[in-house]
Amino acid sequence: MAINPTEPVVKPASHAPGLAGGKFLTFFLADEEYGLEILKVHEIIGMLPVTRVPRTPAFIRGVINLRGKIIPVVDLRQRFGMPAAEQTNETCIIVVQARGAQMGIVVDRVSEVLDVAAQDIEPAPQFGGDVRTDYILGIGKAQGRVELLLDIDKVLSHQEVAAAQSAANASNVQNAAE
Amino acid sequence: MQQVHEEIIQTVSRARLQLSELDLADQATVAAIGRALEETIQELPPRLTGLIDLLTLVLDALQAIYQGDSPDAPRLARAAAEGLAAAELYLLSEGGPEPEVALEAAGQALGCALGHPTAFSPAGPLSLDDAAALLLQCGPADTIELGRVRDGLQALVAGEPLPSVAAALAVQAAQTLGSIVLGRAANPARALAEVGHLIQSAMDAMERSVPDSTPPAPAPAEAAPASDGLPADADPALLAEFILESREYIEAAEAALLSLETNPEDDEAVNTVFRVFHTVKGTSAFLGLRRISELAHGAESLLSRVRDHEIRFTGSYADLALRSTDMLRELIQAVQNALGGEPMHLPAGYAELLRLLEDPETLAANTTRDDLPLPRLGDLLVAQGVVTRADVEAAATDQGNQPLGLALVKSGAASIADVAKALRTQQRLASGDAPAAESWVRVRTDRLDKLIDMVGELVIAHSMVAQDETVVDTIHHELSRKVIHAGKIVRELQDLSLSMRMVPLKATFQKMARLVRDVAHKSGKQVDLIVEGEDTEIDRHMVDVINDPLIHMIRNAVDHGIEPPDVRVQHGKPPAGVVRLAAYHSGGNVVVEIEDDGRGLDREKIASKALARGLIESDKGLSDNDVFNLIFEPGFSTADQVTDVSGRGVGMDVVKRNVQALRGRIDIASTPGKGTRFSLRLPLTLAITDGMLVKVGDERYIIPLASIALSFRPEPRSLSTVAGRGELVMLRGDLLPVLRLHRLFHVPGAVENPTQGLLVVVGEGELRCALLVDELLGQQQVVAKSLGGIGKIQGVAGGAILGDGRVGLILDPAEVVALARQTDVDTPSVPVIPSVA
Repeated sequence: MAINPTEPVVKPASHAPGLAGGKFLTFFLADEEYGLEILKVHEIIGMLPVTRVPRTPAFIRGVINLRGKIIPVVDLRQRFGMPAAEQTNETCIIVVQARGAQMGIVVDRVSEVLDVAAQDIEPAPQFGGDVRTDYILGIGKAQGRVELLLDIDKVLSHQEVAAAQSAANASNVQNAAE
Repeated sequence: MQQVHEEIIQTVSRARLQLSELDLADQATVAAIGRALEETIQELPPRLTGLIDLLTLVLDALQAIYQGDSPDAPRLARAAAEGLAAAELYLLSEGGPEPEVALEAAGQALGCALGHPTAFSPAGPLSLDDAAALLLQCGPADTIELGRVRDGLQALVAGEPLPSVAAALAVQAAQTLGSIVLGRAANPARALAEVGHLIQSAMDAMERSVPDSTPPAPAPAEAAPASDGLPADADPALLAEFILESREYIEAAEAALLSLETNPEDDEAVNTVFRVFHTVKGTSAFLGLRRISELAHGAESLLSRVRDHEIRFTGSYADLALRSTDMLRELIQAVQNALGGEPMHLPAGYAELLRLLEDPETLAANTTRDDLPLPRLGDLLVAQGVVTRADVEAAATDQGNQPLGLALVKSGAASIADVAKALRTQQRLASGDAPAAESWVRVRTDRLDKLIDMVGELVIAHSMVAQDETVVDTIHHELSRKVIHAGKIVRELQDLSLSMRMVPLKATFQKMARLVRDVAHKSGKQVDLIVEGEDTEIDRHMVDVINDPLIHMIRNAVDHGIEPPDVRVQHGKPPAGVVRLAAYHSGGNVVVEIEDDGRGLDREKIASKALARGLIESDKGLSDNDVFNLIFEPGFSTADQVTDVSGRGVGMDVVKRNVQALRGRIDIASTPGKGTRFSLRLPLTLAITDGMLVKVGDERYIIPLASIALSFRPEPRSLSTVAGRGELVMLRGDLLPVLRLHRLFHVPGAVENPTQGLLVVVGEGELRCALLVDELLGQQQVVAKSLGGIGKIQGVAGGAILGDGRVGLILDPAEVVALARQTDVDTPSVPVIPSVA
């Protein structure tokens, strides 16, 4: 592949801070392609029956039985506020290690493992308004495509879960005070 | 010729018998034995050089005893008797390699006892290097060479001033070698390897001691309290491992010491304790923990004297050994503290204990030494199935003054080979080298848990295969046969993996034995602990949790239950009280009983205390059991005085709480003046929950069976509402709030009309309520698991893998009810009821 003259010269300042290049597992949600650091990925499994867990945030689909271990499953479409999609036979669960625990994330389709060099990663843009970008590590550009590289720890952060939960249980505090 | 042979055997046998019962001052007998032997030696055919040599040595020994110039006459007499026994065996067996070796060994032992080790082996003192070199050339079967190395080592220790650690190691090496030579080592090859290590350590010790040239000073080391702290080059990881290991060792030693209390002749226990001290000594010396190795050395010396039957393990010696383990524990704690950066303090009493260990006789009044009873030869033969009990009895009655083995051989009941084998077993038992039957591998618990998970998964995966229609409806019978076969293996695997979680209660009970001993000492009581069923197995998580309740109850039993000896005697009881600790399985539960034969619970006293505290208004109409159960109330104590072990009124309520947290139960039975019995009834494992699978809409939940009172389908007229929303149901005259699970958990498609579904009554007292579910799907045992990274969900106790491989949620009814009270407006709380009723 010839060097694309329009591609910017290496500009260290434009790199996402602290993010070295490496291998990323890419997957699709609707038409958007996302990437996960490969080291965070445990395995990819087909869809399993999910048991709903009451009183959890909507983006938590529920729990599945991963060979005898119970792990929570997060619906990434829900998490990112995208419309729900029909389950196809390409829908699958990526099991990741996030914040010391295993979790599954439901994605539409797994694509490939991609090498992204450090200079091909740009910091996440700021859109303002209600578009949140704090769980995007950066934007990778490789082979002419654009991948949103996710910071999975932030996507599935315990604070998020805890916040959602404490909202659900807000009245507990009042009752305890009585 | 045959007759001469018989005569010789009889002479030797008689001499042995006389010698073993010999009063060492009785010179006439010694002389008589000597004369008889002298004649025998003349009669022996000259080709039996080995035998003649040995008997000559015995004669020398007798000479020494007779003249009274031996420093250790009893040992000499024993060695001589052993020599005669070997000779007898040799004569009876008429050749063969084994008696030959025994002869050789007895000769060497005798030679040593006589103080001229060169009599049998012409080797002078060996240096450690020479010993190591010689050892390398020997195999476990080269007894003569090994004997030479042993004698060389003994001569070395006797002749040269060695540093004390090196000398001790060399002595131990010589002892181990001795056991190989005498054929007493259970595993000669391993024993030989051990000798190698010991000599290596001794050499190391020599090298270490060179720079500071420490004299071999077993004298009290009082003038060296300085320089306490970890050695500068200590490796924290090694130290941490040492701490962990040593604690385990010390626990084992304590258990063995306690078993020695009841049975001072238990050689295996003595060896266990000895090995513990020895190992701790070695490792701590290696790590440069001088204080620990010094103490361990002292304790080891004490134990080695017990092991050599020089002293009996009773009274003050036992105390000393226990104090040593305590001190070791404290020292190890100090090391751990030091690892954490704290200054290292020498525990109080260290110097004194060390001095006592150096010279235990200052403390001890009892230095009785009697030979230990061994398992009897007849018993061994019967156990080996060689002879019947009747044979032995018969032989014993007409054995006269010949040994039983001989009598058995003569009566034709047993062959000489069998008797020889039994004799060797007896000797092996005597030396405590019984082969270890069990071996262990330490496995990390998380791996074990994972294994159990995987096996559970395998069971489910297999049942999916087995229920697959291609298998069920197959025309290939071979296939279904194979599936069934695989199923059997899988189930066996599951049983096995579940059993791996289980540990015997032994360790817990042994701790209690120590506790009883200490509390009894402190409170000046005599208490015997009887332990039953210590092999009963229980989930390893449970073991930790029941520890504290047991401690409380044992303390109570000894401190409150058992009366002081004088009071007991007044009441016509034996002065020593009995505490019985028993465990057994009963109907899927483990029952642990703590029973004492003390004064029993005092109904009057408990009732008056309860009245004073306002717990009850009157004890009229209360059964004994009701009154006894009052002791589980917080802060309740009937003890007249607070001692430092119990009586502060914290305890029984904690016990009850802990037991209930384990889904267990506690019962009391008590008779005044006769004693009290507490029974703890606990589930076998916390991991498995008996649950009821219920359906709510598309969801299935598991409600723990223990919290379900009953379930029923309500009549329309038993239902009523409060303010149009809160629902109530009338059940046998009681009003219960109805809680709609589907509404609480937002489950679509559930049964809305209570008369179409089922009401499950859960909870107790104020929290009692009826949960509305669609239907009951059946009872199931499930393995409770956490929900992983999702965190705690109120109302959900955890998850479980159901039979079809899906996850089912286990509900926590108490939390569900609490949750409904907090969030839902449609569930009235109980105080609202009166306005409706």
